[in-house]
Amino acid sequence: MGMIAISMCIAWFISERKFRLSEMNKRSTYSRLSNLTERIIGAYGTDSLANWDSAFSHEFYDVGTIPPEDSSTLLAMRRFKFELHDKLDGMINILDSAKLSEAGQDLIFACQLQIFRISKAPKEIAENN
Amino acid sequence: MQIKMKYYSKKDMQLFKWKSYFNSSLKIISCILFISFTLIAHSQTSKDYIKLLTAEREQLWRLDSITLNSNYAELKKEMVVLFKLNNKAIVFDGASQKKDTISWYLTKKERYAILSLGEIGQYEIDFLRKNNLRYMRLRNEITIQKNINITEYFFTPSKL
Repeated sequence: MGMIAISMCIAWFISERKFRLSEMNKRSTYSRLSNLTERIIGAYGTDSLANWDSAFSHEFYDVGTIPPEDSSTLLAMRRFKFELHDKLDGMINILDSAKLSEAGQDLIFACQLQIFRISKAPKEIAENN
Repeated sequence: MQIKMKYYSKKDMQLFKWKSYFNSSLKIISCILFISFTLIAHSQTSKDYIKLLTAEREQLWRLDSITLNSNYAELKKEMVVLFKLNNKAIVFDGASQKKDTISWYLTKKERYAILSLGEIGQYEIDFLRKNNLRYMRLRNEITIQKNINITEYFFTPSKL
């Protein structure tokens, strides 16, 4: 009986650790994406913008770091990517010159919302238990 | 320790008063300007789009280029469109010299606008400027799926 209890405790500890690690990774991903977006919005030179664009593509957009079920962040990312390409291409939106910034704000908001949800989730689980 | 006190004359006090009035009024004016600029920047309505699209009923939009290699299935090569204020559009097919009248309408979403062009389809519409040239861009609505290609159609304005 004692052995079973100990092995159950170890299994629970391992699964809990894995869960916490994955949550930490998720939070870190959203936080990095949010920071990068903020940098892109604030960038002035085309060179720095091109560098940030390549970082954005390689670290987030092309590699699928955002889970497919998070449709709001994925859509915000996609719209932001198109706006970024317009900016790099020298296109100015006549009706809304701040479109890149707005799309970036939407993406940052989507990231912050996910970070909030991740932070809130363990508390909710604890409260339910 | 001796504390030196400085006494100001009535004239100086008046000057200070005026200065503080001037500073506070400057702050208020800049606040009003900032708010009005912000409001202007976020006030794109359907009317703004329609104004540019129809350009007082005398502007033709000629399909100039597309971003992806396409067979121009939806919007034909060298197509010219005249948007009228009665929500009818005259489409001139450059290759076959055909002329069609279709209906159009515009739907304003929060961050973009959608142009419905008769049976042809629905597109996100943008008005852009590059190297002093004005473009109307129509593109398929952006979705989450990355495998769906977004074709961008660039139209340039030309007078009647």
